[in-house]
Amino acid sequence: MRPSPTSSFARKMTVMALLASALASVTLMAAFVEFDTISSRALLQSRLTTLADVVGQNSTAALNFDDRTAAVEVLEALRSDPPIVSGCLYSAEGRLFARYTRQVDLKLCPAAYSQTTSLGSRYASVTRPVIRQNELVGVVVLISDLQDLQRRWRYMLVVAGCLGALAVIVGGLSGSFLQKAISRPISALAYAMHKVTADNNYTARVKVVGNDEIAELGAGFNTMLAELQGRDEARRLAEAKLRFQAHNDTLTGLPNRLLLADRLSQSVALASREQRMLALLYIDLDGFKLVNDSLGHGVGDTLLVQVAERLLGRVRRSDTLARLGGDEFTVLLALLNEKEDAALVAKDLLDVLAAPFHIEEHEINIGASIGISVFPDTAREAVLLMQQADSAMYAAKRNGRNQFRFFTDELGALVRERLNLESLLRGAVVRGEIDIHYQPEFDVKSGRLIRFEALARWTHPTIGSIPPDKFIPVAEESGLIVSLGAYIMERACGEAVQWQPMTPHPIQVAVNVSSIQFCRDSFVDEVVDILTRTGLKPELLQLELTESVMLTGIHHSAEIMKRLRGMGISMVIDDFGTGYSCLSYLPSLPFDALKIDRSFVKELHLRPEGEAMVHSLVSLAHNIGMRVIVEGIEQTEQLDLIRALGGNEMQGYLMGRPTPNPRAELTKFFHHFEKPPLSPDPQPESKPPA
Amino acid sequence: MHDERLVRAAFVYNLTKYVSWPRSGNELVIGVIGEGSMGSLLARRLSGKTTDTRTIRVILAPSRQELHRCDIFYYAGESSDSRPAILTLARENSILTVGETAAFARQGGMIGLVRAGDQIQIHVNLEAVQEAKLKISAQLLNLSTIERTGKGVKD
Repeated sequence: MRPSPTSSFARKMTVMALLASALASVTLMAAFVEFDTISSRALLQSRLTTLADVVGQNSTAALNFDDRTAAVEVLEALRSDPPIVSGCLYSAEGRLFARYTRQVDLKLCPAAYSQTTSLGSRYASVTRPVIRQNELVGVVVLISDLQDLQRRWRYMLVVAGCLGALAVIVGGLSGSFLQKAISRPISALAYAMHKVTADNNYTARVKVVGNDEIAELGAGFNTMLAELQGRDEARRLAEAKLRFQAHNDTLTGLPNRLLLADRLSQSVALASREQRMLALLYIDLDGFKLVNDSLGHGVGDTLLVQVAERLLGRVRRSDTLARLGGDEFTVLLALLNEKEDAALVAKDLLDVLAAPFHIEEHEINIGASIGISVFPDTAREAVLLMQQADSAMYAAKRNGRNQFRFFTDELGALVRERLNLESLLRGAVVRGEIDIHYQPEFDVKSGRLIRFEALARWTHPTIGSIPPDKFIPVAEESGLIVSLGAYIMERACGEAVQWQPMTPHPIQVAVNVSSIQFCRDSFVDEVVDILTRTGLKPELLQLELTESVMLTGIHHSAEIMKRLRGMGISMVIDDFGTGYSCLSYLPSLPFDALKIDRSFVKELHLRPEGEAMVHSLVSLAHNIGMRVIVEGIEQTEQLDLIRALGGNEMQGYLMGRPTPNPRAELTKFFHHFEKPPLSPDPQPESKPPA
Repeated sequence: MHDERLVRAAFVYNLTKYVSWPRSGNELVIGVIGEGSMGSLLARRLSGKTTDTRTIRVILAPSRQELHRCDIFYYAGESSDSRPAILTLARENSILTVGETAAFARQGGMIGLVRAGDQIQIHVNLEAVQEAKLKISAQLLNLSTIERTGKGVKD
């Protein structure tokens, strides 16, 4: 269970304990045996000495009185002491006086003391003088057999060996038990280390017990791990932060385009496998630019955050709300049951965004356009779903805002057509495919021709004629409108210069300006340049803007208009009444006139409320000092009504169709004394347009 | 035994080492009683020798006064019959009496140095010794034949 290095460590510890106890016990036993040998030898020596003294003392009289029998009797007493094998008693002269031997064959007592020789290691001898009253009486020599001592020594060796072996066993056992106190914490350390390196898990800790070096090591290890863990966490946090920043929008914290793309492709894979549907909702705020321009970026950002919060409150946890940038959001509805659910969600989101936002002191009303693409209905790929939702969103926006729209194959065809148109349109000007037709406009009261409106015409060599309502949006979306608009304006202005000598009064030219052109900072300069190059007087130029100009910021637009009007250029609001604009902005914008959309004129004599509508529009315009231009007049009934309602100027097929050759028209008109062909009013008027 | 007399002289000398007297002086006086060459030999061999710090003096044929000064009476010769008066004197004055026969010890003497073959045996009359308030070493007694006063004359 434990790794092998630690058990080898434990084994080493045990072996060391064994060795140590063996060494100790061997040393101890050797010392013990040696000490015992020495002490028993000394004991023997002292016993022999005492014995010799006693024998000598008891032999003095025998020696003195030459009684060998008595001496032998004394020596015979040694028989009670087995190790003593021989006792020799010499006279003072050194002659052998008496002797005792344990075994008859032993010849250990030479006849004369002087002949005494070394006895070898087997025997130990003691020689003592026999003294009586300070006089040497004789000499005693006692000889002891060392066999017993040697036997005892061997016995001691065996006992010591046994004890030593026992000590080694006990030492080894207790050592192997006691070493656990050391090896166990070290094993635990090694185990923890192993765990850390194997799993990169820095949360492991060692239990620290006691306060020895191992405990210190363990504590140090723990400290090191804590440090590592801290660094690891910091690194992970930093990585998570980086990952979050890479995948999330910094303003709202929502997933960004990158993360959305990832989730989308995952969801597509999942839905594909599970045979389910999924929907992608592409949300674009309506009029966000207006808020940003008029109230500042701070308010704009706050608005985006609040929009994100509202949207987030309405989507399911399993859905992904992302911000693609700007005022564009997406909602990915994963695992959809039916297409209608996506419509419900879109409706819900539009509702939630319809409620006013309160930021600082402002009350902001904002809408959104939502495009929806559904997997697998129209696309099976993430990228395509994204494009389709985007296209559907544009379609919804063009359709009149604050609504949602599903991507359909027809829409797809439209998009493809648009894309096709866009590529064709690029270079159309250079190839001379763009032509300008001019439609006359007349003063209602006098019936006099007062201006031509310049209308772009595109005739492609193979496709043929492409209507403006098809290619103008393409030009606007692609940005081509800037160069196209400038081209048209320059040509129209140049044309208008040609008209002036042909007529008794000045004839204006009206040029449509896209809000995209108008919003460019350089727009005023471009207009001035064109007027300078063509030599047209500013009073003869009328710029027609649609209500979408309001989306770019009222203050900014008003500023530009004031500058243009200051030069003498007339400003007209085109297609009035079709859009989403409210009337309240009208007074703050310096328009000279408003052009009532042709749809009002169409219904003018068909429904009573149509007449009322035009009437109130005319009254409104007059009240704020604007003239009213009515377009799309095709029938005399309409003309009569317009005149009755107080319209100031008029345009329509009834009076004149767009013509590529306005000068021919002028020649015709003014050759007939400026009389408009279908004017019911015979009274001519020479008043120039205001 | 080359010269019995020499051995007896050595025995007398050695006896002084195993006997203790109630009194002590610088001299140890040996009075030789009886005839023969033994007296002069003792005088020759022992005079001037010291035994346990005492210097030996040998008096041959001591006078009545000299008898009192003796520590040992040596009765020389076979003929030396016991003289009860002197033995009594010796007993009363703690004088060790040494003779040359076993009978000597039986007849009131204290120690007899008796020839037996080529050996000299020591016979001790313990009663007499104790009566004279002398002490004889147990070692000596170990070698000795103990006699009693009044034992058979034949021994």
